Order: sequence, then C-alpha cells, then structure tokens
Amino acid sequence: MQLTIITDLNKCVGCKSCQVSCKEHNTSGDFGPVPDHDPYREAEGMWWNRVIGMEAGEYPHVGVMYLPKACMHCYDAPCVPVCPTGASYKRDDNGVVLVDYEACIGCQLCMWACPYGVREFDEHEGVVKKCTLCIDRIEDESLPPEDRQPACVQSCPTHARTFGDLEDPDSAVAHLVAERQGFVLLPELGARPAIHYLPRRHAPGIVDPETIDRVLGEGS
Amino acid sequence: MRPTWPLLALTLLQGVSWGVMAVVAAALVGGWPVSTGTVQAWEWLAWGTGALGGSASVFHMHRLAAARYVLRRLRSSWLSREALSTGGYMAVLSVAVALRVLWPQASGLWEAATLLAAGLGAVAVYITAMLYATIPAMRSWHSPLTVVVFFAAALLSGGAGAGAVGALLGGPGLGGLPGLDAAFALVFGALVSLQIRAFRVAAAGVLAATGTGLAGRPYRLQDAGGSRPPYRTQTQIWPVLPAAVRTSGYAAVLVLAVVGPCLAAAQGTTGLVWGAGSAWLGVALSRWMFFADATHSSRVWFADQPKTPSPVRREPGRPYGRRREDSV
Repeated sequence: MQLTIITDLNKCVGCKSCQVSCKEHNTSGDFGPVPDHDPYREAEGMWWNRVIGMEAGEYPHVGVMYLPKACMHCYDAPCVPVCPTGASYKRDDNGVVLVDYEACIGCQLCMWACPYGVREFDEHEGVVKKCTLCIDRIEDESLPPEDRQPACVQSCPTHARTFGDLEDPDSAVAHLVAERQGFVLLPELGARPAIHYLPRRHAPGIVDPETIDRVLGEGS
Repeated sequence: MRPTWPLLALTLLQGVSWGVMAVVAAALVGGWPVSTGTVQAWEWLAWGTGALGGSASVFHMHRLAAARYVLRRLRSSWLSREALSTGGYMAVLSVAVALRVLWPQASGLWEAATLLAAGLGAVAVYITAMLYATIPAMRSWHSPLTVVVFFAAALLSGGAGAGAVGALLGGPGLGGLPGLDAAFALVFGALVSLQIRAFRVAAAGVLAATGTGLAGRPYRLQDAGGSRPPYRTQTQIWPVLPAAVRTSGYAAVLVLAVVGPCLAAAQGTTGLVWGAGSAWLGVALSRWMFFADATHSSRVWFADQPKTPSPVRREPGRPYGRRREDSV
C-alpha cells in the first residue's frame, strides 16, 4: 500500500483552504503535534503545506499556476537514509514518511536532502517537522469513514485533491493517474514521489453565439 | 543554504587538524629535518583544532537528548559515519598526544599512533565531504569536486598552520620545503575556480519551468505559501547572493587563500605566519561561500526567474554565440 494525494491542477484555485486547514488541524485540532510555538502570530512560521503561486510570461500573455506542495511521501525518500538517528522513516504498511521527534537531533540534513523543500525546522523544539498525511486522522477508527482522510483533502472546496492507495489498481487515485497522465515533480532527482499532480489542460476557447448560429446554419 | 557557525567551525577545524597531521605523517615517513619539539607542537595544534571542531559540532545538534542514537544509521547515513570517523580520529590522536607527553621513550608506539591518526583523519575528511557531495537535491555540491576541494582546503590550511608553527619554533617551516605552502595555495585556487563554475552551472539548471510546468519566461513568484519565502524555517534555501557580493566574495577568497600565501612564502618566519593567517581567512571565506552560494532544487518554487535570451540562437549573417546586447 502507498497512500497518496492526487491534485488536479485544473481545479486548484489557490484559495489556500488546504494550507490553512492543515495548520488548523495540526495546531489546534484534537490530534497531532503542534507545528509552531505560536502559530497564529508567526506569519512566517511553519507550514506543512504551502500553496505556491507562480506567474509566467509577459503581459498580455501571462499564465498563473497554483501548486499545493507538501511532503511527497516518496518511494525512495532521500530524507530517510541520510538521517543518522533513524528519526525519519517510511512506514512499511502504508508508505507514509514520518518523523519520530524523540529520536530527531535537529541536524536538518533531511531538509537538505529533500528535493521539494517541504520539511520545516521547529526552532523552539529543535526538531524537523513535516506533513504526516494526517496519519492521526486516517488511522483513527473512532472517526466516521468520511473523516478518515487528510485535512487538506477534506477542506478543498473544488475537490481538487483525492486521497487513496496508489498501489490499488481499482482506487480512484490510481485511475486518475493512469487516465489523466498524472505526473510528479522533479522526477530527474530520483526520489519517486507518491504524490502526483494532474496536468493542466488548455482552457476551451470562447465561442460567441453568432458563431454557433453561423456554424449550425451552415450545417443545416 | 544558510551558513551556520557550527558547520563552518566543524568542517574548517577538522580540515586544519587533518592537514597538520598529514604534514606530521609526511615528516615522519619522509624523514624531514624537523625537531622533536616542532613535531610535538604540530600534534598539539592538530589536537586543539580537532577538539574545537568536534565541540562546535555539538552546537549543530538542536536536541542533544537524541544524540545517543546518532550511530543508528551507519549503513546509509554519512552523518552517522562522520560522527564515528571523527570520534575515532580524535580518540587515536589523543592517544598519540598522551603517549608523547606521558611515555616519551615509547617512540615506536607513538609513531604508529600518529600515522594511524593521520590515516583516520583522511577518512574523516573524506566522509565529511561525502556528506555534502551525495545530496542530489543540493545541486551545487552533488559532484566529486566537493570532495577534492575539501581535501585541498584541509591541506592548505593545515600546511600553512604547520609551516607557521615550525617557523616560529625556529625551524625551516615545512621541513625545508618552502614552496609547499605556495603549491597548496595554487592547487586550492585552481579548484575553487572550478567550483565557482560548477556552482554557476548548478544555479542555471534549477529552472522554474521544471517545478511549475508553465511555458514561457520570465517567472515571478506571487506567493511562496507565506508572506515571503521560508528562509526562517527551511535552512536549505537562502536568498540568492547579489552578483556584487558573489564576485567580491570569490575574489577575496582567491586573494586571501592564493595570493597571500604565495607572496608570504618568500618572506621568512614573519611571512609564513602572515601567510598562514591569510590562508586560514581565505579558506574560511571559501567555506562560507560554499554554503551561502549553494543552490538547492527547491529554489524553483521560492525565487523569481528572469528572462534569459537564447545563447545559441542563430540569426542570419551572425555566427553562433551570445550577443553582447542580449546579456541580462
């Protein structure tokens, strides 16, 4: 099993609901560790999920992209073997990459090794923290099934994010990746991320009513 | 990435320590005409710098409570191996220093411990360098050149230190080989020049198009997921050095680490001392640039990217190559 999140870049509108709900859940929710010393006053503090906004081109030919970026839970996670204490590890049963805070010495080597810049150093506790794929939620059997998914997936207003097992060929995420040419970031660095994105498609051209009438008239 | 003083101190002082021990080993094996007192002073210098460097590494750990687990991943982690190799080197070096002080008549045993320490020191420098060279995400460091530069820096700083101490004690510097300091400096300068080029190539290869898939340039970062890029919580990235800072930084490295020791080598005892100071400053600045000027792959999402004209575009009547007016 390899749990993953698939993000449809056509549907992401950059609202940051996933970013905020991640912080909310992992800070003030019932579960999970506190990712910041003072999370609501440190605007530049820790975010386990960052929505990157990038603009390309020159006016008027400009494109904008929103990219929610959190831990990729890589198959060959480079952060795991470099960790001297074994604090960074990848779970055998579901493929989630986690950090054992008790064993972390805060050397930050895993942050250098991660190609994606998704690990964050907590200077107050002296340990490195990151997205846990909301492991506390997805394994909590006291929750109703619809709540056993990461906070970012549940809060997305456009349903851009889908959660599931990438290695189950019948799962929704496996179908999405296979049918929509799901891709990963920086594949050339060899980490084999589990997190995939669905590529953006061209926006359909705008057709005015007169053109429609003209085409229909030509056909009749 | 953000340079931190524990990393600078650890890597620099470990290099100085082993560099001095390499001189000691060369003197023993090569039969250099140096006094016992000089060799003893060299060994104390190696031990002192090594101990200081090892102490500095403690400050790089932010949770000492977990330090007891640091050897768990010897099979895969270069940091685990670094802790073991540096600790082993310092242990054997301490034995050698203690033998010389407490049991001076056991010269055979001391010589064996000294040579063993020099060998272990080389292993420790290699492992420290490999820690940086084997990180694919740190594009600037992921090269065998990193390992070679670490060894060259160690030989230059250690050789210069040993030469200065030898001259101060009335000896002929590095065993009557006054040109050795200058040779180390010239080799180091050549390698730093190669490294500057490698760092520029690495920076040019980290493209926003790779991270976003957007067509066309220039790219402008609208939002890094916070009010500004996460330089505070993510130490693998750092603001890009302005071109003027980078140029003047590397120029100062070459002046201090290459020109200074070469000019000072011919000036006798005082010159050797000044040359060592210059070399140490130059190597320290080069190590600061090694961290500060490094490009991490995640920079694609945290920085603007300017429009750059094609350097190979061919226009009618014009040969291949970048036009002067195209430069950005």
